[in-house]
Amino acid sequence: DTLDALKSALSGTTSLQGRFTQTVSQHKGKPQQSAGDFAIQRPGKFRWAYATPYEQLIVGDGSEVWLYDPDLRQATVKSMGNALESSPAALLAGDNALEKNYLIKPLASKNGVDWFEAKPRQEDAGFSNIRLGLKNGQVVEMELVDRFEQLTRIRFDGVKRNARLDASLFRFTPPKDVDVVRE
Amino acid sequence: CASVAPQPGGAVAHDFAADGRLLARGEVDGRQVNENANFRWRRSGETVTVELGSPLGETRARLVATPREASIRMADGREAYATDADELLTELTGLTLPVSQLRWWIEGQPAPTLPVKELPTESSSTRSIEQAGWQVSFYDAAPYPKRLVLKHESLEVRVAVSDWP
Repeated sequence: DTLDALKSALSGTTSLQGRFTQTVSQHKGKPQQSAGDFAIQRPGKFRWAYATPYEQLIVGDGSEVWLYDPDLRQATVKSMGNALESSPAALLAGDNALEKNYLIKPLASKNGVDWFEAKPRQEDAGFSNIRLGLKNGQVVEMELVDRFEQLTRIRFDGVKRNARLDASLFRFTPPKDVDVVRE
Repeated sequence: CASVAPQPGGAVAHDFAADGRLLARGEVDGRQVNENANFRWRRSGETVTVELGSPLGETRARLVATPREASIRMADGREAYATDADELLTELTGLTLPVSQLRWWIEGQPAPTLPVKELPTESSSTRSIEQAGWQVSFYDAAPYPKRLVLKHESLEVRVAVSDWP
């Protein structure tokens, strides 16, 4: 059924690379826009690089997640664990145990995009609801609702699937003048 | 208190708004501090609202502070109230911030009611002051500072603003 479409889209993908735009809409005021590029190497490796309006790099090397903020001159590293709150790529890069962590339910399709709801099974997960939009067997859009009912919408484009990606994309070595903090 | 006049297009008029990232690191009263967050800072009149979250926009806490009282709501639904915003924030999130002074510093100015000392600075695009026991450096203030570094004993707070919506 359509659930298999999602599973095969995720498990059938060994790597993804492309650009993302992120819009965080808040109750009051203008939505917050940011954009950058991403790469995913399943299982467990991802790169999520914000370029505008500020630089912030998130790298999952398979066991740990680095968050590097050049303006703050700090890099934090923590174990992979529940890394989703650092980037949706962690969800997409996750091993096939999507259903272990999420309750998956197909939703309606809208202009050619098949939507799925992924409700975190973990009660204290940062996001109360996640929706994945699939087109031609590939995740093209994500919507994440947080506990304050604020919505983060992520759109992927220029996505290359199953290309051979350079391993250095998923490694991070902090520049010399940057403080490294282990959480 | 100051009413918040809605702007056309649904955006609410704030007297000041800044989005960015911050970190607090070091030691306070023998307790290690090591927190970082993306933030959305809004001020209307003397009411400051600070939302702390992840790069992904996922909000972990929302603090609302006036000079007399503060309330905080956490992602897991917990809510707490206190007269001192700094204590409340530290207690619920571990993040130690001088909120009532940052209310002025993030807008590039010393708090008007407290004594302040100008300190020599490295370059023209920097201004450093000493106030309320903190050493505060403002970087690239045009007009609001893009970066701030605050030092108090062995605690350092760094603030990087990416947008003033």
